[in-house]
Amino acid sequence: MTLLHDVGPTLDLKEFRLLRDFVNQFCGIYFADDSAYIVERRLRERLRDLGIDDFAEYYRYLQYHPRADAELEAAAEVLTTNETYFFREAYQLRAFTDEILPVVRGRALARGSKRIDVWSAGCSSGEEVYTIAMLVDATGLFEGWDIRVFGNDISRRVLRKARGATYTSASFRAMIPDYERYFIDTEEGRQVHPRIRSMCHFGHVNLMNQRRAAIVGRVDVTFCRNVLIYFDDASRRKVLETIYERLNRGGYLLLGHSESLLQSSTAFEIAQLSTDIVYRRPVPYTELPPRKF
Amino acid sequence: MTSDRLEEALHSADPDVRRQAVHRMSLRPQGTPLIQILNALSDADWRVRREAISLAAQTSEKDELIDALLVRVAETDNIGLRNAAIEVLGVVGQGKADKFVKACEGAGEGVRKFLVEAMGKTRDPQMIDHLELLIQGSDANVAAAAVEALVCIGGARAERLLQERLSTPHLFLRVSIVEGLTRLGTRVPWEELRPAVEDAIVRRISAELLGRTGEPQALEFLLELATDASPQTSAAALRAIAELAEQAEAHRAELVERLSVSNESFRRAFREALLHGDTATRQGAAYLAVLCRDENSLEAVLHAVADDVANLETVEALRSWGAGLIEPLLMQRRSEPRVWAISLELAAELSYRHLDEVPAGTRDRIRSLIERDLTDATDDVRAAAAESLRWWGDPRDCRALVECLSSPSHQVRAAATAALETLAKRVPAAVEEALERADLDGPGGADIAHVLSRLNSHGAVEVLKRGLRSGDPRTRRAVVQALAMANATDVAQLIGYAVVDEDIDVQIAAVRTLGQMGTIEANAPLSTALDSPFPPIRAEAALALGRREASAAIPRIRALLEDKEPVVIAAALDALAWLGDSEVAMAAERALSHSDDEVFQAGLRAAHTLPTREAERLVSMGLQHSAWNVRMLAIKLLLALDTERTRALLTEALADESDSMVRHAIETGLLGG
Repeated sequence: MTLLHDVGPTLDLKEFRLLRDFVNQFCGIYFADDSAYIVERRLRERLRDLGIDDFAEYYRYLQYHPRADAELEAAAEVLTTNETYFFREAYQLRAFTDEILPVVRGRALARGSKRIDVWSAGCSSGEEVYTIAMLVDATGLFEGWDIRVFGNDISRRVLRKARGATYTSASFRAMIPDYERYFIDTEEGRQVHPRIRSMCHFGHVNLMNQRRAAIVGRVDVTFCRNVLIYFDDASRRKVLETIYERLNRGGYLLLGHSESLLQSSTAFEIAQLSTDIVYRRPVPYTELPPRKF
Repeated sequence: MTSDRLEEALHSADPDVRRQAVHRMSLRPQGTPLIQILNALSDADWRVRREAISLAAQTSEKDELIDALLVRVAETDNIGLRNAAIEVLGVVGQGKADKFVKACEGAGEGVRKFLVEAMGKTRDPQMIDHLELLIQGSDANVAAAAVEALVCIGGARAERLLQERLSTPHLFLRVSIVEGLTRLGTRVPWEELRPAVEDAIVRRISAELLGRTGEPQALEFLLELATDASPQTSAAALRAIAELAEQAEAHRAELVERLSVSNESFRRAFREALLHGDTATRQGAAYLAVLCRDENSLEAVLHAVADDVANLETVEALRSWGAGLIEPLLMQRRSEPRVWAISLELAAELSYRHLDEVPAGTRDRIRSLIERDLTDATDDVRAAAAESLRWWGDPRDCRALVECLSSPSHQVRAAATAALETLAKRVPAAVEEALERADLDGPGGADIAHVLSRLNSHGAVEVLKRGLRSGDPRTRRAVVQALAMANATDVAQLIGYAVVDEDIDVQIAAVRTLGQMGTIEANAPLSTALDSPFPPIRAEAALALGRREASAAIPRIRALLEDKEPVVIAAALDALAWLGDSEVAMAAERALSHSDDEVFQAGLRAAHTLPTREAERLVSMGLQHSAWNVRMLAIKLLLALDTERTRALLTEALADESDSMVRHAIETGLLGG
């Protein structure tokens, strides 16, 4: 098995649908029928590792084997890895620093706290987590504050990379020159500065597991960008419920630029910012400031 | 929540309180007064309206709701209410075409388009008759809405109606139709499309339809669109050209020739797309680059292959390029490792396939690059080098490849295994010799076992036996699987020990291997395995004994029908059916009332072995099952029975079947006779 020669068992449509539904129930990710070849290619690695000859047997393994739970995680791992990069969707990040962070700061101070919590839900290899920490640091609004940025993913492999915090050129395709100072050159690539790394935390959390996601605690802002697009409707709703539960009242949810909540959840309200539209967990009506006429 | 408190919440000033109240109502929708639904649908907050849509969709008073909503769509100025009403009508309006038609007739010109929009959202084919009239009407807005509605409904009739109006003189309508047919994936014949795309505005949005025609004449339009200032139009045109080239196999050479003399602005657009386009565009551009044998784009194409963006056609087109590609590939030596890995491997393959055309010096150069890269720092390159050695068939390479089997990289070991498997066919003695002292305790133990299994020799069996003592369960499992080739008594006994290995995967492999062996000695360990504490082992043992026609095991397998694990019950039933057990009919009938899908399916398979009338009756029970895969199995088995009764049953099932894949299986099965 090389980059050019990728041969192995073939996945027929029936087996594909069975496996697809199985994985979907576990982690919410959904593959349309025309993605069968991607699933086939990615899962071949698992079949080879397990010494299994065909996908029907692999399906049985996932159903009945005593190590099925661990294997399901491994399958989800190879099926869900998605690449990301620093400073992705810069206009949204501008809205975060210019409009959201000052509000979050004000709210924290009002409750007598000097701490903010941000969650990067589905953080992949960690670029978004570090981007958020750098942005917070660069505002200068949070000197001496306790800043916590938590990133989770279902893939242990990408979490290892995230913790290593060392990246190659592909991660810097949208890099903003002002932030170069947050990186140190090493032989393996460019590593995020220890001060930024100290703000960032990672964990292995399946977004479909609401109880496990409670580890995130209450957060002021959640980034869940280009994650829900891979989920089916029911799973998307379930994840949004979790995100809603984890957000402080008035806390913000930032989705990818092509994503919308309109069909998936009514729990959030729309917050119109000057450069972006984001979502917010509503503040109780009674706590809102009186309207100015 | 009491009704008073609910009423209070519905009138709260806080939209979130109102939203939650409507949400609560939607959890128990029956009995919700229509007026409350309508009020919620006209709420000022979108979130309340969205909850109200879910609530309305569940009402039992559908007719009253439809009447009320049709009136509101026609009369209201509240955009939120109108949109919500249209959405609800889409959900509840199926089978009510008459009500929509009546509402349309009575509606003013400005609002008819909204009613038409709702008709489309019902996806009800009964609406098509009325939409056909509207599409021909004088009101352009209504006609365009009717086009959109037909697209929503879809199907052959809707597509035909749209195609018939493609040459309408009304530009606005023509644009709507082109967009609609594009979304529907319709293949419009060139003769029908050509008049419509004479207009430059229509042409700009017709790229996909042009690509789908498969007609070389469409290329000129597409070349023009590919250089459009809009990146979207340009990208769509490039994807369409790639599709055109794939479709028009008979004219491909002609198309390639035309593309090869295209102007510089086209080439610029094309390279830009190849480097920076989205996945589909890069895929199309990569294919075109290879078809046109554009050496300047080769690195970008290889990047697309490495990124898993290029499709199989592109990789095949690279292979078809022939010996002329070898030198450009070798020039990629300083490219990114992944690109070089693909280049090296492809160059090695092409030099083998075009042996007569490739100078000896070039082959020697490739060979020395491979030898150098076997120790490269990156896994991709080492794997490519190892895989490439298979083209040489040189016995001396076996030792180097065996060394690769000790690599910690899974990828390198897999490539070396594939190369050794190829060599095992051409120079088996050399492979066997190289593996004679192979370290089955190392990381590549399982891979070595895999290669040895291809040798089918006494020496290989002896090496494999050593592997049964490996400390790595993966190796022991692979060795057990590999030993299936040695159908000898002493081997069966050794594998028998593996039935009680401490690792469950080794146990499963042992049970399966024993099931494949002809020797009688395999039966005893398999019978032992029927008592395993692990359900998959009990199941595999039952299946293995069934396959071996070990009828002495019938009583013990019958006992497994009472097992608490569905996987065991299903396997026992399959085994008993293979063994022709006299109690299969009863067991099958019982299985067909079991809640587990696997047991139910085993019931169907067992029922299929019964006399025809009984088989027809029992297998047809699967057609009503809620799981699509169970219905698929029932269809397959009924088609295999192929009696008048089964064909009638399948025809009947087709009428109620909603799953497209299952429908397809019935239709093709019945057609195939």
